[in-house]
Amino acid sequence: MTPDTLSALALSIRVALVATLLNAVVGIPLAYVLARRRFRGRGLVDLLVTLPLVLPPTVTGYYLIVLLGRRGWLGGPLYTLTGWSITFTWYAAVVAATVMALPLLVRTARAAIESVDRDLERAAFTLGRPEWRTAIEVTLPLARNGILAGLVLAFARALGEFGATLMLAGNIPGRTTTVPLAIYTAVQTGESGDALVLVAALTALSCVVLVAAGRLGARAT
Amino acid sequence: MKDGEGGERLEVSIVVSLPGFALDVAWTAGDGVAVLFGPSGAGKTLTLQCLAGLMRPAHGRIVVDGRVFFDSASGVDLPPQQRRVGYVFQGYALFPHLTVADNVAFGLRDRPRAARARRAAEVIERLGLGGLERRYPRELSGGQRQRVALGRALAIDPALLLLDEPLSALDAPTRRELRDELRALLTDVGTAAVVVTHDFTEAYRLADRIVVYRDGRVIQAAPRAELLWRPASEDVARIMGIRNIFHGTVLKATPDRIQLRWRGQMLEAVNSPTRAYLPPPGGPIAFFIRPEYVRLIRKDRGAPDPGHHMNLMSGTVVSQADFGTMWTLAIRLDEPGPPAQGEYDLEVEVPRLVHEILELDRDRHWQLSIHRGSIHVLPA
Amino acid sequence: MFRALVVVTIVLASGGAIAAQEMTLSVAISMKEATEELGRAFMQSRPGVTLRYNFGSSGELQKQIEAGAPVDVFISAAQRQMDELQQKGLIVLATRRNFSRNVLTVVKSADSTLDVSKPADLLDPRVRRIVIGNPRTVPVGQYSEECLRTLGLWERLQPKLVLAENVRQALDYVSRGEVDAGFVYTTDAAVRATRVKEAFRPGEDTYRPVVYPAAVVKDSRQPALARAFVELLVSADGRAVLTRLGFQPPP
Repeated sequence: MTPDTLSALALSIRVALVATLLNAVVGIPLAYVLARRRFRGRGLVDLLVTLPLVLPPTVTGYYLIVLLGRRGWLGGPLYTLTGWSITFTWYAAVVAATVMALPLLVRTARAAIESVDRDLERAAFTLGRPEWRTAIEVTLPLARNGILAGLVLAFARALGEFGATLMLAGNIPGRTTTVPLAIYTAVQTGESGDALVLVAALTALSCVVLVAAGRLGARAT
Repeated sequence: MKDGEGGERLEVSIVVSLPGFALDVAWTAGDGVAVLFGPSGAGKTLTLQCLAGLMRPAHGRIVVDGRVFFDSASGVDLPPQQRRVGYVFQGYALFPHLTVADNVAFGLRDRPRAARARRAAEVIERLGLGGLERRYPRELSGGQRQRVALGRALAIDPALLLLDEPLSALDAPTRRELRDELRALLTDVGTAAVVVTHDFTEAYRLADRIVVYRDGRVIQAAPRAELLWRPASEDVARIMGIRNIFHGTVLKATPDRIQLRWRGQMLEAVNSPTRAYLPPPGGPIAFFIRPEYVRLIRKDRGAPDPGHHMNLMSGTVVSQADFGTMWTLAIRLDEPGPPAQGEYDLEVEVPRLVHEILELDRDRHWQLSIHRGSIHVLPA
Repeated sequence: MFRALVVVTIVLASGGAIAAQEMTLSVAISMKEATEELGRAFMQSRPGVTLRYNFGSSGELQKQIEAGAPVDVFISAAQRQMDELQQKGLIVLATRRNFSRNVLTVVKSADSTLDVSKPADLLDPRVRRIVIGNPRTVPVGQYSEECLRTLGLWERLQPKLVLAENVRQALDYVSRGEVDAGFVYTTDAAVRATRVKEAFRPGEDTYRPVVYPAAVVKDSRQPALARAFVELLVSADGRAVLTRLGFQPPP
């Protein structure tokens, strides 16, 4: 276990945790709105959220560069103003992981929310609760297991992100080399020992995560 | 100007358009329980949802105890949170992740904690749920869940109580028990209440007033007795499950009596209470005869007395069914020609005792009499 | 419908077998244009022959051959990768030839206003990011590291370094403006002449000579053709093309 290996593991876990946290903050309200509200452009939002799931990671990576690169639509003005660009930083790894894992969370959470009996929400309305409080006190708690399963899946996905991360964040040991990238490099350079350690670590972590997701999904409220 | 003049507590007049279904109803109710009765899919639950504010009618007006809940003309549409409606959903919609106590107290959020606890305890006690406060809905029986749902709705001192098929999910003995309790409770509490059911016995037992729904419209709204004895049309009679509905030809119609011909018989019936139904002679007429009011004439008492026995007919019992406390007989009249209901003409109910006394197992041919008041005409 | 799908799949899968004679070349990506041009001439003079190219960093290509990739010719951008294959007995030693030399240069984006004209300028705080190939797998990266170490800049430039998977990716980062400067070969700078411009060339004494070897892979199924192509690389015709594209003659 070299220092590089260790730093790749630490980085991967840190990136995946932050990405999952961001996904929770953005994704759960998004899932609720998609599940319960009708609004113009709902189909478009749904499509955009699902795209990273369906597009090859390199395509998503390309779009992220177009958006956030130093000459990107958002990245360009940012760079001009502050001289700072997100590419080749670990924040870029977080962004790539967040975007790629978001659809998993939103779809799972949305399904969980949709499966909550609407009569329960209606009952809450007649008993005086406004919609947002009903969501917090009734809908989300009852969808909790599905949402947690979605978060766990998103975490696993963020942990394993490679294609978009490589494109936006690059492969810089100690800074943006996550475990999947480190495995790639280790295999390229014939460092099978390192590769094995990393592969074992990632597999073990993913298994734990998936078992946890399965348990949560299976448990009825 | 005071709304609800004439003592009506509840005024409903709404139109709702959904893909494939249109609701257009108008009815009122005074004190007591109003029951919306009719087959599934007639729009009863939809009406409840409009009353609760969970569905918005295309246009119309809803007034409860003088408060305007909805009025499309003036743009009033109170959200459900502000209507103070106690809604008992079909399936009860109890919060599975909350205890009985928390369920009952759910609507009491705006009260101080002590008052909340007191009121919840009061309601729990009242509904016979004492001891179950800490249980969860999944641990309760069907009857207990129903009470919790009721308690939750009553706890908020609602302006209007809505109950959607409150008893249909229960087994027969529980249903009977709860039906009587519910009736007593509703009378006791005195809140304006609307109950939905597709079972006529239930409707009759719970209601002061029955509103009959069919295909998105109201086909009769009346106090329960009136509905029972004088359904406004053949349609209503069929929905109520009335048997022995027949079609005959008018011979003569007066405000008091209607003479008609049916299956070769000349029958005399009383006219409907409005006395306004005067169908032309020779025209068609629908009527029904209650199975339990057809009398089999005993053979050991001599010939039938015309002053006493009206609408005399004779026929043969072609089949019979044993229902324990009573028997249902299918009688085919001696008259030639096809019978009115397939293999037989009249359905007749006799109590078990009568069945035994008359030895109906052995003796099949009988003379029948029907009092004119037991032949109910159905205005078209 | 299903039958049509099966037929199409079979045709596509057997596409390789249909050509009369086919050869695969694994080529260091800095030799992309040169190989394509020479390849066209090769195919023209040999009707019925098809060449397939597999471009990548020399390190990557070496690993593929070690893993058994069915390649006929290996063209590397550095000696080390070829040496390792030779040690493992994976090339036909007799066919190994050095056919050209390349030179490192530092490029910046064509519209860059930064003044970078000597190595020390790389330390300027306005030069925020510098791309080099990954020294572990990419020859140009190995040479860049060597160069920077010789110049005493390696340690101090660490925080600014961004690693690329091959020299063309490094070139791409520069031309897109994602980095402020990058180490590539002069031949690469020429390929993107409109998007990048050379800032300066580090002294050739700061790194080992970049000598490109080529060889026939031992398990080649077209040994004769493979040899012929390597011969082309070192022939007068080959040298003419290489010189035109900016390569130097081998030592």
